[in-house]
Amino acid sequence: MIPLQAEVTRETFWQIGPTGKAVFYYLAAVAIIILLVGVVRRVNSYRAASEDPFERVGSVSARLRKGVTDMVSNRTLFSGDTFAGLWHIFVFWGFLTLLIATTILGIDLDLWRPLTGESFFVGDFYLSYSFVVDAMGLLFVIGIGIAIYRRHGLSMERLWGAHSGNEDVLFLWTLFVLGVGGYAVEALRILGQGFPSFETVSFVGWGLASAFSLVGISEGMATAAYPVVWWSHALLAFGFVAWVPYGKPFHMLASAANLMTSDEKAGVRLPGVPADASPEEIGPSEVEDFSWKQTLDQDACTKCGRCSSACPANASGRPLDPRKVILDIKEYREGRSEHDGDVPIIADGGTSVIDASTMESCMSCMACMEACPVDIEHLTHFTDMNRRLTESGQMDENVQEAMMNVFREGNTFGDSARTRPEWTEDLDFEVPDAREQAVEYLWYVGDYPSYDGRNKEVAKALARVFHEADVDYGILYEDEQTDGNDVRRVGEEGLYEQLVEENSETIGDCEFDTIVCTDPHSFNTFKNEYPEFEACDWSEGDVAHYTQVVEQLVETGQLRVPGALDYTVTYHDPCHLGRFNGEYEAPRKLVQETGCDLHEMPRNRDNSYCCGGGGGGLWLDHEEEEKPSEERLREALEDTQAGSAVEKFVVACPMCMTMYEDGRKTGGYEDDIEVVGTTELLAEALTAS
Amino acid sequence: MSDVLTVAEHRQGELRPVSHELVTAGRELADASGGDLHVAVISGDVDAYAEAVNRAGVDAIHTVDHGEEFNHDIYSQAVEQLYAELDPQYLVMPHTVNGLDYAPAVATSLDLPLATDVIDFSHNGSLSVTRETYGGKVEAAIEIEGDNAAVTLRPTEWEQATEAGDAAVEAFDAAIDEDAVGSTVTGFEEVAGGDVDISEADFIVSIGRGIEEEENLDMVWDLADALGATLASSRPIVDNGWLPQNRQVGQSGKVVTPDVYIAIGISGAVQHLAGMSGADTIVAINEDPDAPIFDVADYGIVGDLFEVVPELTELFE
Amino acid sequence: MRVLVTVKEDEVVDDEFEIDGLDIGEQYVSYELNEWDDYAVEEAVQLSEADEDDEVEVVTATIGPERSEETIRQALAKGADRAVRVWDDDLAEVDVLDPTMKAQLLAGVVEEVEPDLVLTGVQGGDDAFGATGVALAETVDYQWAAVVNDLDLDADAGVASVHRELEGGVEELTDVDLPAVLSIQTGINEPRYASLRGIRQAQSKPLDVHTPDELGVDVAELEGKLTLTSIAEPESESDTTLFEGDAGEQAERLSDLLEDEGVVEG
Repeated sequence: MIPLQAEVTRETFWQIGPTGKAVFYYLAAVAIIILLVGVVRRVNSYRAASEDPFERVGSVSARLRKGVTDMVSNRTLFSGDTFAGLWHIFVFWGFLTLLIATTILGIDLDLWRPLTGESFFVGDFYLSYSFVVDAMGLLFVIGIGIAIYRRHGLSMERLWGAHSGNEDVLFLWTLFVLGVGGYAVEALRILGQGFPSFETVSFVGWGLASAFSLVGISEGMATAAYPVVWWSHALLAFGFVAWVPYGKPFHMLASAANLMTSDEKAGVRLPGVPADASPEEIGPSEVEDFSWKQTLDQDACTKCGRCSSACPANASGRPLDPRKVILDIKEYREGRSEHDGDVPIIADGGTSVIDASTMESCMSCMACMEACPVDIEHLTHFTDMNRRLTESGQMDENVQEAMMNVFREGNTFGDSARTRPEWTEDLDFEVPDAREQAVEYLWYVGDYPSYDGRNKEVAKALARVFHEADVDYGILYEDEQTDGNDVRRVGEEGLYEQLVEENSETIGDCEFDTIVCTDPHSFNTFKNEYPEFEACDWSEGDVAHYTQVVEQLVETGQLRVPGALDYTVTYHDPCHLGRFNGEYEAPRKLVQETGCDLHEMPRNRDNSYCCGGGGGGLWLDHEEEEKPSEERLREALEDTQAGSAVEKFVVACPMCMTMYEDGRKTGGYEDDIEVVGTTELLAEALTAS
Repeated sequence: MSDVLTVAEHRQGELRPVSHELVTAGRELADASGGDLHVAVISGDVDAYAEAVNRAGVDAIHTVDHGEEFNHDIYSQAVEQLYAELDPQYLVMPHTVNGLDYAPAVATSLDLPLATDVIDFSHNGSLSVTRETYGGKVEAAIEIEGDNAAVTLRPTEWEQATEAGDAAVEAFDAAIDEDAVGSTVTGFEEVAGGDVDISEADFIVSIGRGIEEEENLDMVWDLADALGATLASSRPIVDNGWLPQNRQVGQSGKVVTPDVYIAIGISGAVQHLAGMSGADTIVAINEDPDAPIFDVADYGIVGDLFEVVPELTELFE
Repeated sequence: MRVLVTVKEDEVVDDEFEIDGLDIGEQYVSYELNEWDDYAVEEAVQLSEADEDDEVEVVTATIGPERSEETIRQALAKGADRAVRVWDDDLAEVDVLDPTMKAQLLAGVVEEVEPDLVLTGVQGGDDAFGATGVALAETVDYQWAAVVNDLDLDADAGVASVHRELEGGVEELTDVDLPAVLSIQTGINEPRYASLRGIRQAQSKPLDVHTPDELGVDVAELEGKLTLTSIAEPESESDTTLFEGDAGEQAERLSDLLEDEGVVEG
């Protein structure tokens, strides 16, 4: 029997009698209560956690704007993996549309109609609604389908890690079944109601209904099957809603919150420690010592694995898997770990949630954070744990030695402070003393350029460039002490604080406009961290890296670089200059000014692959299959457009210089490529003419 | 009272070479002071040890047959009693692990001025010794006041006495008070691991990546054998499995302090230098004149190791 | 149980330095905690931590001027409970502070502190006498063992079972009756790091200063019999002497060197 369709609409609870409706609403309420209980529990775990050292909820409009933009565009998901961005935005908008659609329906059914006696779910509104929902639902299903293919068909490595398992599979398939199931319900209704003509707008449902009809399902059969399929779809949906706060689906809320509470300078600018904190209070001993934001970080993690696949330590075979660290802590907090009772969060050997060797493997390169689509701040977790290791005396021996050297002589080598300026003796001009005269540029030379054989050449080259360009500069001679960027990152905050005070005083006594650094590590900490301390007089804008300064000199014509060289080169973005501080172009311009032919490695700019020297890497001896530096040199010789024609590997950081010179030898690349500093290239161009 | 009394050292059935060095040094000192050289042999197979230490230059050997292996309480008592009996001017002991275990106690007990780890001495009426300080950066000349003194001598600084001697061997009946013996040796353990402990070697030939391939190791083994040196290496060689771990020199391997360390094809990474920069004389063979190893080497050959090594081997075969 | 640990501050000289009479020029000298004492402190602190009844007290003893308090605080930061420092101006005048004198001074501390176990380092990093521990033992009539690289303490039985690190990769296993002095060899444990904050916090632990008189030691009486007459740099090349010529010639020069060095027969 074909019912008379006087109106363009559909009966929402078709065949579901009043009892059915009551049960439906009852179950809906139960599901929502379970959802709310779960959310409250999560929120309570944030409140049980410690305070976060940074301001996370101020500048509300800016934060909202950022969060909303991130979510609407899914831009963080597209970065580095276009297909992931694509399927996720389908699913995101599909899900959101279906959610809004259901809400609209609910409003019509339970608010509008009772209040006004009429329904707006009719006519043109109904038609456009149906069309949009069907179209977005289709994108949703396609998106999930792609995701299923990547997880099961391609078995993408990063999707299967230490914490991957049933939950991930269940999440995907539940959504898929919901998506497809929804169409099944719609198709059965359309078929069961005899293909009402206006339902062609629900083109997917119509098509599926036609297919059902083709395989022999009759109107009667569809009508009979409808309630069954409807109820199974409803129950599954309720189950999903209830499940949200208890597992992976919670990321929908947590990741959104995380994006809105992020710290732009995370990792680049580490938190300080309260002056009156005793050593036992520094770093996490118990899981509640993590801040609410760190706890939220752990909840926001969707186990996508991008951090782990971007991590150079992981790739080298070191025992660090960033995702696993975050999830291990989460698991321990939720009481689901293998440890019964309380164990230390981090320790050197013995039982602990995280082992010291994992943290020691970290190069502080922030590739993980760059890759994370939900703004998880891995590095703050890691450096907090490093602080715990330091304060509990469990620091690695070699790092200990470097720290003791800094304490005694103000440099990580342990060489006499007195001999720091000896590198200047090879120059045939005098390097001005910034302590004695006012200068425009206070050149902070750094440990490695001052004491390390190979890097002294870089310092000399830069001095020559400054001299040639008639720059008004000066150095601190033997009063310079190590900047402390890496001291801080391996967790020795107390020593770092002392360095800040002493360096701030020494530099504060001088007259200058800009501090220019050879080393991006110095650049990073002077620019982003020192100004947070009272003792420091300067601010962010007063600090520059030498490539920025020299580039300026070239711009203004104060320095003319003849394009005299014609090497085929590639440029390696140092983590602390590039990813940390966004300076990618100045060094490249300089390289090109010299006339060299610059070819990019695939992992360039914010995707650069760390040399391995950060996070104590220069001081530690790691067990690894292949050094990060060796892998990078391979990339330089094989993966650029110029292939093996690349002659020079250009660096702009003394640590990179040291690590790559080492990797060149150990990797057997000595005959194939040379490592050269940007200044050395410049100096060569200047003398070549 | 111008005699010199030295104390021999043995372990697990063998007289240790330092005992012969003490004979040379003791003779030197006895000549300067114008007295006789006595040697004390305590514990173990004293007769066999006495025979072994009986070298030209020794005037008398005194054996104390008490106990099997070294025990500092027995040695202290025996030496103190011998000292009382012989009344020498100088007491000369080795600066060895066992020497450290009794020499200071004896000196304190006998109220003798004590100079340890002496590398040279001279005697012009009174005794002057030379010691190294500040990790070998400085040599200090120290004069010892008074007529008597106790010294411990650094092993390998004096030549071993080699010529056979004909000193009289006397048994000394020391009344060892067992109650005063407060420690008991319960055993010995070998812990070097592997066939050789490179940290004990005096002469080391060490190879690095410059060797390029495993088959080239033979060439270096030949050299080490010809020179009578111990073969060691930098980490990559061990990582490759070409040599066992107990041969590794460096931060994560062993620290070696030989008299001579020849680094072949080793660039001198910081981690490696940490393991060998304490060597007395470092020779580097490397084709890269800028290799960091040359920063610590006393002597160097900038050249192709595949040419130099065979030449060197030939000279010693 | 009380453990006394000697903590010495070593004088460290730069690679390049100048001699000023009988001293090293001040600008080339820095100070650090003696490496062997670092291991001794760690061993003592580990004993204290292993004792569940919390009845082990670790006391450090230092002979040194006020400057050495920086080093002492490191030991306190690593877990020692309190510190004793002995000094007066007379000691500053002493030429060579030899083991006999140190033993006398430390004996005064031992008398006051009454430890069951005394841990010293095998030697000082700067003077390298290697004798203070054993001399102290003899002075206070304690048992002793030198160059210990493993310690297993049975406080109830009053016995310390130790390994002594002999030459050539052999260890001697010995039982020593308490009270005893053990000189500790490097490598016995892994000394923990004392963070700067930890050191700052250690300011609150007691650090008592005594003059030798207060301990019943007369400095004039214990004037050592060792007099420093001169210091000099040993003859060694810090610049590399390169052997020139072809492979054969270079090999010849090297073989000559090896003969001179006495590592091969001529």
